Amino acid sequence: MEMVNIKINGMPLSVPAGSTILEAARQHGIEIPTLCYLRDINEIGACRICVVEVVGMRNLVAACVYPVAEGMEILTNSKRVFASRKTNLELILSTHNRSCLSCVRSGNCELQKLCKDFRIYDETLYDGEKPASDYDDSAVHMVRDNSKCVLCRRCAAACAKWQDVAVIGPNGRGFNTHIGTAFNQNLSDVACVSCGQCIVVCPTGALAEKDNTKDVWRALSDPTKHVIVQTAPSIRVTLGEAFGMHIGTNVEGKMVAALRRLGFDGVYDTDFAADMTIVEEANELVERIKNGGKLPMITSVRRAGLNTASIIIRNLPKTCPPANRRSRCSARWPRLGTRRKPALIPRIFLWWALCPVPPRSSKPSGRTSLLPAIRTLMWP
Amino acid sequence: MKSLAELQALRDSMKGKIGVRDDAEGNTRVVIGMATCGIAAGARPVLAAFTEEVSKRNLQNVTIAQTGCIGICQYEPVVEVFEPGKEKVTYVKMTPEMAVKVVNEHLVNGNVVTEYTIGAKTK
Amino acid sequence: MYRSHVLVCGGTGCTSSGSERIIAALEHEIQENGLTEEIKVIKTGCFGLCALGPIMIVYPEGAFYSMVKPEDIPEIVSEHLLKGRIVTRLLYQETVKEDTVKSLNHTQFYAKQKRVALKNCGVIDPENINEYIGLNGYMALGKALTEMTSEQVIQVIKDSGLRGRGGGGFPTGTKWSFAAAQPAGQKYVCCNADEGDPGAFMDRSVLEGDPHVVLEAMAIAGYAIGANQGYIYVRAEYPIAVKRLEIAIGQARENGLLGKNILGTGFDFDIELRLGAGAFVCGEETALMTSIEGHRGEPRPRPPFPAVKGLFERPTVLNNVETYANIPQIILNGADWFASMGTEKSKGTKVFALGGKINNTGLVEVPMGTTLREIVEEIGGGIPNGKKFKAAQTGGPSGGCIPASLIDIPVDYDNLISIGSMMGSGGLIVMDEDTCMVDIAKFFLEFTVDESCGKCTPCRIGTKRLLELLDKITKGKGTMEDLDKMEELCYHIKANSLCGLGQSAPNPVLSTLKYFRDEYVAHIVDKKCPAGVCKALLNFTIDPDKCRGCTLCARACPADAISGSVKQPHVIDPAKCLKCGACMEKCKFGAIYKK
Repeated sequence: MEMVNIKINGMPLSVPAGSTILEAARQHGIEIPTLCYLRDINEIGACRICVVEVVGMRNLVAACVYPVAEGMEILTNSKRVFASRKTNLELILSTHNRSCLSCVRSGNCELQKLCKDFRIYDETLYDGEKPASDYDDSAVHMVRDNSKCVLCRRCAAACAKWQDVAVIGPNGRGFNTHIGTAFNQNLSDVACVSCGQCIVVCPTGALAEKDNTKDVWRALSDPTKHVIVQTAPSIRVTLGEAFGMHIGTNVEGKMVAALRRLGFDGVYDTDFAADMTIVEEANELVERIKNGGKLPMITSVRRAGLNTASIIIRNLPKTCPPANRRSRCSARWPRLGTRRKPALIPRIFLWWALCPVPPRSSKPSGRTSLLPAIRTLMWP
Repeated sequence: MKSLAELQALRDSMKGKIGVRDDAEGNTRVVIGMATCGIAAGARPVLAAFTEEVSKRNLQNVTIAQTGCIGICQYEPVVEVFEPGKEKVTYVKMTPEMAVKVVNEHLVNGNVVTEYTIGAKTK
Repeated sequence: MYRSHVLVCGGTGCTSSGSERIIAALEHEIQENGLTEEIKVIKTGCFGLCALGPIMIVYPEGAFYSMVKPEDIPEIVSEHLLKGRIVTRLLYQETVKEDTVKSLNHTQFYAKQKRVALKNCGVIDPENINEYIGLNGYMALGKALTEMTSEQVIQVIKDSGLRGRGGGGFPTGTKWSFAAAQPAGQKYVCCNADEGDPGAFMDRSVLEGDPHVVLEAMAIAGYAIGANQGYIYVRAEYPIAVKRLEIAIGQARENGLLGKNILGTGFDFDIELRLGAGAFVCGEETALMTSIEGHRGEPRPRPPFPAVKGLFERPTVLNNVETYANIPQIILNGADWFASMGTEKSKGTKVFALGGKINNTGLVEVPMGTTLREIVEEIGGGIPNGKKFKAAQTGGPSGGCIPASLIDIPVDYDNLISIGSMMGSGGLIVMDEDTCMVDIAKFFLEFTVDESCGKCTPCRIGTKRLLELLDKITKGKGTMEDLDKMEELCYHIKANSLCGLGQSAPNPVLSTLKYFRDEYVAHIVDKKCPAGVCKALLNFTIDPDKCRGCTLCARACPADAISGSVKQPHVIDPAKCLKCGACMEKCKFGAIYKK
């Protein structure tokens, strides 16, 4: 591999040709703060938090996109760099909804961390008009609050590049740019598949899952209710990460015990419903084939998959016979519900509470809503 | 257009047609009297003849213009030829055929057609 | 054979003043008078003297008729075309001589101009490829394809010293050589016809008046770098230019001058049009390419530069319309010919769009190195109404102002940068003593804020905050701390923005601060606008000595702010006054003044 010789902060280094300044720095343990950068997904140099000085250049450059070249001398910690990064941050703060105390990401927000790192002492320094922002809670799974958006575009990148769905992106121009769907429709009216990846990558509280924890506590404290919980397969190996355990540690036993201590009357595994679904679906398919029912039959284990399927079906050319190909077994959780219903006792199903999306960043996102409760039970 | 030669041929044939749109001062000016007396005496066909012949011969640097009354009305149609650096030549009682000769003899070969000039006529 | 050609300007300016009706009237009158075999009427591009439009020139006399109306046509036809008597009252007055017409080349407007990029504008019919060919059109392409190698073409452009005319001033030959050096494969040639600077219409006039020169130059560029596909990105707000380009491309293709196997040399090159959609930022090269690719027109970080990785990630040459307009003549006449004009580091000529407080608004082309004084006082005809020259803004929203003290500066790329301005694309707005420089900075910043793409923080938010500070100052609410904050923010935005729009947006502010700081201070400390423009700082007062008590002003006032009885001096209540100026307009005694 071809290497080039550069200097960072006076230190001579040898780095692969074609690296960006950020990659080169990180390889050698030099940290440069970033905000909009998301490796391989969002490398656009938009937020200007990662700016660095290159000796001989008049302007500063964004480290996350600027390629190194032989003989380049870079300063990542100069006074000019610090001042510029701080001003960029202060400009972002001036358009931000700074209600951290009530924000779901308080304590776990990338913007907040930058403020601390850069020692912001006056978050109102560049205050002025705030861009118009909308609050979209039309979707069943998440809330979009643009007043907290920093326009990093990571959500749009995840949706388009990662998931190939591309339902959200920047609308408008200049100061009034905002992330939204085509023609600013409700999220529930577009082909969002509820995969939740945008929430995972959002650095602030602009995107957050809807939280039903209150309903769960209410049910748990209602003596007339028999409350059961159904855990998705992945949770038993991802939950531990949020408690500081090694990634992938299987905490199935602890998870079940903790849930019981929380007060759930029954803890079920989704595998159970899955098995039943498989049997039923097989029967349904045989029935359709034998009796000339609608084909193809479309089914999916996850709501996201169902949504995708519905959208595909809706958009099939007119030549294809229309909908209602969804298997009546689709989406396992109602399956469990119907089978488990003893005569007079209603059920509450907690699919969402314990099914956060597996975190993909190296740090746990800590999104699980019931986490604090479980934590106090498991580690008093 | 299949070749550069074809392009050049088209260019050459068009040049004469657009050349008139030039403010070039070094041009030879052929000025034809087109006042009422001139027109009545038949200056229009003379003008047309000059235009056609000049374009046929593809002469560059020749401007054909018209003017008002030159003053010598009994000699109309009158044509004055101004060559830069030379004395003005005044042709009188012009006809289209004489125009063609003036173009070929005077403008192309450089020989003033003396028998058409006012000097010859007033003798 | 036509003995007389009548050229009527068909540029956007004259068209909106009715030149199409003039052409219709001409053709009608010529037919009525039996002159159709003798007189040819041609619709051409822009002559440049836009202030006097609609314009008509009759050749061979070279009679320049200005401000022509359709009602004047019968007279022109019967007097001039039929009888040879030039209609003096309609002539551009400076060209009137006793018995003939003074040549246009001797008028103050044209004397110091050298029309290179605009050579054919106003001379040929842009919708007729044969006329372009008649003036050596496509001969440069023919020469390049048959007599020169790609390397030789690039060398000639390099030697000529041609620099990008879009504003950047990057050496064109060098740019082409970077793209040519990339490995063979799909490459592209693009033309930036998204002229977005307010007050700039140079590219528009070239596209409307001589579209073929751009096509020819792009084909030459394609030959030079090894590309066979070109795109012209033209703003949709230029419908006449779009139409003329479409016609030109069609005619070029019909004549085998675009498409496959041009002139039988085996070289293929074709051009497609792409229309802009109302975004100034799409004039930025990477945003333009992103837009052609079908995405949001937002700039991309550079490097990689377009010559290496541009349109569809392929090596691309992107040049401005005016840059292209110079190419064919450089090929035909040689590098030395071009380099003989201009200054040491800025060769050739530059087209300027003169606007603002100047008599001869219009399009001019002068050799680089012409002084601003020559442009403003001689070519431009000076400031109207006897006002004093205050400053000239060059480079539009990315540029700066040149104050009166520097009016003798020879205009070229480096000189302008050294004084804090820039050449830009050629818009030149002239300002007089009645212009408020703070207001001018605010005007340009409003434009930039509106046009910012919104991708990067310093431009999206920073320019908006800058504008808010400026607005505060023009409303008399600014402080000296605001001034310092504003200046710091300007330097920050310049150094941190992703693309040229943000990097140059603060220039009008910095430039006016540099040369007219006292005006800013007056707004802040004295709460006064010295030029009398910023409404919030104006006080309308009635001079009691001049007031006759006619009550006209009181009745005109929409805010009921004027009180007084008949025949008694009236008084304006400043608390109610809206500063609309209606009273001042009504007063017949000049008793109301603003300060």
